[in-house]
Amino acid sequence: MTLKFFIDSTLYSYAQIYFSNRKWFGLLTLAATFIVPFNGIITLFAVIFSNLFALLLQYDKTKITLGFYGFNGLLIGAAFSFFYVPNPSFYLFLFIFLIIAFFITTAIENYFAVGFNLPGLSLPFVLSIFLFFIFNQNLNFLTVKSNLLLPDSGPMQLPYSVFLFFKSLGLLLLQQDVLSGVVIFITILIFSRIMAVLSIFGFAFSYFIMSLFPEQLQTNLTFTASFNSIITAIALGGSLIIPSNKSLFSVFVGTIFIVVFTIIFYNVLSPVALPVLVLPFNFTVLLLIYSLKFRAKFADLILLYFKPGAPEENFYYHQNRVSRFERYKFLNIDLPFHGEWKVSQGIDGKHTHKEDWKYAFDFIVTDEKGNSAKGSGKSLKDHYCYGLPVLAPLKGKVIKIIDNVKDNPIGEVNLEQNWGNTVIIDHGVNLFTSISHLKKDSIPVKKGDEVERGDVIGLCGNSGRSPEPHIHLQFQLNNKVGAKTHKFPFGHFLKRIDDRYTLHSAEFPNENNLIQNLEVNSILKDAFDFKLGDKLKFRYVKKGKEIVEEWEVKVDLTNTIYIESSNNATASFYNDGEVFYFTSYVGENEGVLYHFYLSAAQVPFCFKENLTWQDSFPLFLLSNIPLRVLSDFLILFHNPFYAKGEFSILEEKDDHLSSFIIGNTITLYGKGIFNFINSRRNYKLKVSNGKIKSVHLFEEGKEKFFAELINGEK
Amino acid sequence: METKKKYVRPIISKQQTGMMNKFGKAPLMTVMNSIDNVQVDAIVSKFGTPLFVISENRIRTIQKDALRVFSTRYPKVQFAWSYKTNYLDAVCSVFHQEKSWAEVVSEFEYDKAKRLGVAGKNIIFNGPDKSVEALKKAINDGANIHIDHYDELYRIVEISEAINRTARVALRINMDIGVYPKWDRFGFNYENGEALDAIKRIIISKNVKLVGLHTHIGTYMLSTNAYRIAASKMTSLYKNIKSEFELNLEYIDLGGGFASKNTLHAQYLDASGIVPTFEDYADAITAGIFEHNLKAHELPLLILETGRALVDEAGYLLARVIANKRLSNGRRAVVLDAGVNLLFTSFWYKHKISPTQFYGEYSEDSVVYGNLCMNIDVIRDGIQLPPIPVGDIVVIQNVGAYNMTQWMQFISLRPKVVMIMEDGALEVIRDNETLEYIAQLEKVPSKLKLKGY
Repeated sequence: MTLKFFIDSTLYSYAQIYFSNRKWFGLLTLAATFIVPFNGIITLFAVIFSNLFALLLQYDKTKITLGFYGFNGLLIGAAFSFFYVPNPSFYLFLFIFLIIAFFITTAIENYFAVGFNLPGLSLPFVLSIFLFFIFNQNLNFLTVKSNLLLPDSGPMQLPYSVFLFFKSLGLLLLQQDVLSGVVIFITILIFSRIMAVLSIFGFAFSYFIMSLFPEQLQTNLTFTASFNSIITAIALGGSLIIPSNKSLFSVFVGTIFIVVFTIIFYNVLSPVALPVLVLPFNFTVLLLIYSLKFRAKFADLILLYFKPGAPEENFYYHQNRVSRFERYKFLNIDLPFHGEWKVSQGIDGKHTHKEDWKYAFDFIVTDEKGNSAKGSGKSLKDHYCYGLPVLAPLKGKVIKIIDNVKDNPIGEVNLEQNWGNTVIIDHGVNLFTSISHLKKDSIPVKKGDEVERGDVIGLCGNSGRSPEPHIHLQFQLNNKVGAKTHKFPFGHFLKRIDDRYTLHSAEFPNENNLIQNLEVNSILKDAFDFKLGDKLKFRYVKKGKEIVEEWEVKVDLTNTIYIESSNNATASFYNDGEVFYFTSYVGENEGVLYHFYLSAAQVPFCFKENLTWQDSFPLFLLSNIPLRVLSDFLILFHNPFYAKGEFSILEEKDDHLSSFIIGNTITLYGKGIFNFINSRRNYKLKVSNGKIKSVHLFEEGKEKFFAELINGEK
Repeated sequence: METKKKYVRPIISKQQTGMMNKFGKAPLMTVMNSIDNVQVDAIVSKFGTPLFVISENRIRTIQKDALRVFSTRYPKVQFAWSYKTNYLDAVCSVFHQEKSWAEVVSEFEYDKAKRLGVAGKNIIFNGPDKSVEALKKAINDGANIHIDHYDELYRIVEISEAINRTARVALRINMDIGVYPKWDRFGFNYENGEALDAIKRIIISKNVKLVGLHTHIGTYMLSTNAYRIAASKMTSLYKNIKSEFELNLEYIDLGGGFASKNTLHAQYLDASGIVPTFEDYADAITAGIFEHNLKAHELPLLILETGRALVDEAGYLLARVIANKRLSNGRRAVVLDAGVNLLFTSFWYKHKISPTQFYGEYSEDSVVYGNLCMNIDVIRDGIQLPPIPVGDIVVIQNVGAYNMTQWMQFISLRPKVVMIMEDGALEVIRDNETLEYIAQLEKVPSKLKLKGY
């Protein structure tokens, strides 16, 4: 066992109590428990013991390090030193019940995780300490302290409510002294502004509700309700749910639950001489979180679906993922045609895309004037799209074919064979594409054929309920012709308005949009084709000194591919063959990789004149610390800050080399009174002959950064 | 007040019995009094006659149509504007704005394209005669050089090594596509293996990079099946090179040759009804390529050097009737102020000539002569024309291709070329020649100078 493992597992156990993942947070919490040194020692012992015990029994080392097993032991230790007068048998029972608590922890944690996909929270601690209370009843091996809450150290002249707040924060960790609460609050404030705001909200609301109850109840339950509300507010407001103004609303609901359940549990438990402890928190949070999993839509109150961090980190991470379409990266569906087509009917269309069939698309071809046919348009052949190849939008297996329906004359429909000639492709991930109204006898594939993306599966026709030739495409969840449609976006496509093109990813084209697939440019594609083990070297000048930054392309255990720079920054990326995009950046806000990350956050391998695209950026990559802190405070209400990147691509008028300049203007906006932060930076990324050549940053026309490739092994 | 009826000269036509035409009556003469909504009279009163007129709108529309037709059938399409068809700067610029590359066949055309700002990589350099100097330029600029014969290949190998630059080349292939005459004077033969030998020779040379294959199967091709065969053979070769030499070529270039709406002298029926459409050509070509079951990402860029079919319809020649006369056999002859020196394509086509106003419904079999003192100066033989008085204007249509490059300064000076812009404005894109312009290149040895003649 290394010293690092020992220290890490100890500190993370402390940090876990407040949903933190920072070692320094654990260290400060540890310090808070030492305000009463005896408590501190017992608690620390309990943590170390639990972790060593887990190690000895060969539990998952990663989980031990992260404090999963230590924090319930920690609470047991804290509870023993909180409730009981120490005597020789104190240590014996602490020892025994730490072991009992450990097994309960592992069992409950696993049961909740496997059975319900829920965290175990501090339920194991509550059960274990109840067991000891029941064990100790009537026998009184240990005696409960006569006064659990007093005295407090230092001349603290605080208003009662403030005192109560800090006291409750300390009591969460079963610390008697108000000073522990102060230390913990400061720790929270440094760790997360959102968490600090949430703890105050939770406390204040429960304090208000409690003040409406009879005085006797207040005396008995204010503390319990307070610390339960604080930790519930943190859990629901930002640590287990992505923070937003809706998560703040859930805090209010949660707090009402806390007060109600505190009273219920008090009425149940006080006759049997058990304390309520954090049972209301465990009950409320688990109940709400579990129930929220069963909603039909997840637009609001999004449960954490990744490794938790501070609430602001959760917020930015989620915002980044949502705005950057990552959840669709496993399927990259193309449009089913060559060249530019028009969406003649989109989702919720006015003709036939209604109710169960609303998530469907009709496509036709139009000319410059917007006509879909030449001449009179009375014959099928006049229609531009008639007879054009229709392509498989994604690889899959052809599972159904109708090929013998006659094409209707213009203006007539065949309501008996509604869908006309149809091909259904099974993409193997429970997603099916159905393409209809194809030309009679035009389907070159057979049932059972495996098709690749882009393979011709038929020709555009006018069969079925189709008065004019068009392609009807819908995604569905089964293999039936005419099944209910399923909402699913296309991977990447270009949209044209006059002579301007915009890139759209994981989006749904709208009615009348003129759209086309990306035509992959091999020069751009090669430049961003970072392969495992690739090494690149860049040179830049900082304060008159030349610096060389080296990159290496690596892959981590979760198969995320990333670039690591010689100054310890990492940037994870994804390349789906049509678009390169970064998914995250960790490191200092400087250096070549940092600037490259911002200048190439998203790059389609496609060149068109007047092609632009947009991306959003997390604030913390662009701004200084005060602004980030200010922004953190405001996330729960209405985030007034945002950063947007506007990309463009130019071809260099260079004879021999094929070069492109990818421009990105990143604008940092503050709404209303915050507009003083508005600023803008221009990146120019040069790509030539299959390589990243240089990164250039300008602010207000002045060059701020320039780095160029000096060597790249690809 | 009742307006006075216009006087129309009477016509006496011979009754031809027993010579009925199974296609019925000849189509009625159409009047053309405006181009792109601009009155022909207004154009003529401003610029005089003869006058070439080019419609920007027509060029763009036709090019966009052609691009739409091909790009909705094939994923990667690139047009390259055939300079020899019409290399007026303004015309080329419209095509380049419509994303066309430049296809040039001489050093002069090459320089013209470069002068317009076309990047070397967007130039296709064809033709059997490329000088050492021209090749040097093209290699340096990274232009795509299409090799016509072995001697040229050796020259390129030599030059690229001497200047140590990589030459981007494609091989011009000729093949049997079932159409005669067989065009085997250009390029390397497909069937006898000459093409494959040349490819091997290119692959072993260090500074020459084979990037594509090129063929040009003929001109004014009415058979789309010929294109299917050509596309199929080219793709087959492309695929062989891929599998045999592990070389991924960037493109196959199917050249030009699409027919325009002009009717050849040898054609009996009017071309507009029988000439294949872009759709027909595109269907044939893509069918030929798709025969080989390449995966979507393996498909090469398809380059088309269409010239005539894109620009013919956008060009008009406005001419004035300078005389009406009767030939010895009784046929009517109309003399225009524009001759075959301006309208070279008269030798190929039965040009469509329209009056600018209605002269009544009777027409007469006529022959239209130009203003040259030459017997060959026949603009159009055997056309039904109404009686057009001297001084009135006719519009000769579909003259955008080859005339403004093959015209001759003969006897008289070449006229202005005017472009009708999309907004209806008239812009002179080539001024009329003047005596000074012609004379400036001439030098008279001093002993020949005339004094006080």
